[in-house]
Amino acid sequence: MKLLNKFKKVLIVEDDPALLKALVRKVESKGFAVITESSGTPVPLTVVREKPAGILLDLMLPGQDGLKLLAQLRSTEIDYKKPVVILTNLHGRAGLRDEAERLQAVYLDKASTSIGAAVDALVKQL
Amino acid sequence: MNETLPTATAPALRDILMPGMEECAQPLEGLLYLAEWSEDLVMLTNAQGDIIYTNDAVERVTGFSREEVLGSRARVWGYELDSAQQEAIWVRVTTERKQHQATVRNKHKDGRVYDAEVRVVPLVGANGSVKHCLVMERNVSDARQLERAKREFIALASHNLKTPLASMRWYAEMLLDGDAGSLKQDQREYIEEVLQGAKRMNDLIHTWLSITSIDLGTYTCEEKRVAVETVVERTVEELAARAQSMQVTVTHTPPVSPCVIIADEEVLHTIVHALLKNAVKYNRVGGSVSIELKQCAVGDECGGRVFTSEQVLLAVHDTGIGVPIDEQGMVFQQFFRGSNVEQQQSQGAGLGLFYARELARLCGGTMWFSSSEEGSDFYLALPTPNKKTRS
Repeated sequence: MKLLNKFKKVLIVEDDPALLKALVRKVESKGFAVITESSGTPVPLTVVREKPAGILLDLMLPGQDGLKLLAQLRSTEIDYKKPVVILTNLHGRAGLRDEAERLQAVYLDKASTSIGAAVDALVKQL
Repeated sequence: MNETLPTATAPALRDILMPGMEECAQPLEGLLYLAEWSEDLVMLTNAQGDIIYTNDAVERVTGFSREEVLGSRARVWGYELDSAQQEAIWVRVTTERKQHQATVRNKHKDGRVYDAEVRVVPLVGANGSVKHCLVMERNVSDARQLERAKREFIALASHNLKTPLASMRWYAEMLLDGDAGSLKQDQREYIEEVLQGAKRMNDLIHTWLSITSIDLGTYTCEEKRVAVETVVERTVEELAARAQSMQVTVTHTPPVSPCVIIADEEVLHTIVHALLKNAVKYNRVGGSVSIELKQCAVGDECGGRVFTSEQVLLAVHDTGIGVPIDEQGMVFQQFFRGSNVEQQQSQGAGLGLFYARELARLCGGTMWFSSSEEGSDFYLALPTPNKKTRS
């Protein structure tokens, strides 16, 4: 099973270097290949070019609002249909969770979720 | 209230509007006083629009002093509408006797542009003619900017505090998962402590952020249909370990009928958690906590109160140390901790109940309690969907 997974790529979009490194390690330990971005701007192009099997997406990114980015990925322009898990540290903004669900993404609070659970939320959908 | 309100502060308005009315009723005196002291700009014009009175707020709101404004035309001064548009508004107000209400961009004397809510109200005399107009203006830019600044503060504080916390948590977890090699027993124990610390810190930050947004008035709820029972079960499970360490038995009878409310599930969870945590924390060793959830109809008496509308009631009974009688009035205050708690030496900032009750209020509910040395009973009542009115 692990060998097969190597052909599946996961895109991780996260601007904090320490959190990014942790996520990369965890996802690789599950047997997936990983591509990373530290800001929102290059993401649409990366998605079109690399066609990742799934995305771990940070909400507060320099240069772009994560939800707007996801809306763009889900729109007919890029039409990305694969699983997306949103990881965020924003507190209590009403409607964010609903908005994420509307864009077919799981919504998790980073500090309140174990790294295992955060990564599994995506991996189990792949 | 038979005191005479000071009239020296609003002579102009009174003299203009009420000549010969020596026996002014108290409420009218009060209203005139209010106009003079309002933080919003209040002006009086004649039928042509010349400003004959303005309150103190004029300078703060517009930058122009009383002297600069008196005698000038209200509609030429300030607005960014062209004179034809302003004339049209004035005509409508004075001839059709209709109020005008709008949000406009206005220009401060120092050149900066701000958003203003404006009202122009014709004051119709006994013979039906318009003798005066009341013009009121409120700067809403500052309020909007402040609102935006508050929300950004919360978002930024949240992000900046939680990011390093997530980092601590995740790396501790990876060590425990063996991702960096296997651990010896005491290495495992030490890292567990780091992880617990990070989790506790996260709870505190979450609480602090919620309290801060309540204090700042930026608290918002995402409301949906919530089965209260699910939240109660989840909270009981979360506090199981703590209850066990104190040998406190927690019993919970599921409700007979489904208790559903419209609320934010996370908010409800915070409230229930605060109540249950207190019931366990301030309990005696070997004591008990019993939780009851039920639907109450109009006329039912629950928790010492008769219900006047359909509500869901959560009752938490504990056999704890209780709240001393002379302190019971202060239980919901922000930093209150009972004097009998010091003896128990448990940690607590006294924020739980204040916060829980505030949240309950924001959800349209109420919280009350009764207590003795044998224990306390805390009650939370929340309106059921059909009968809910936003407070």
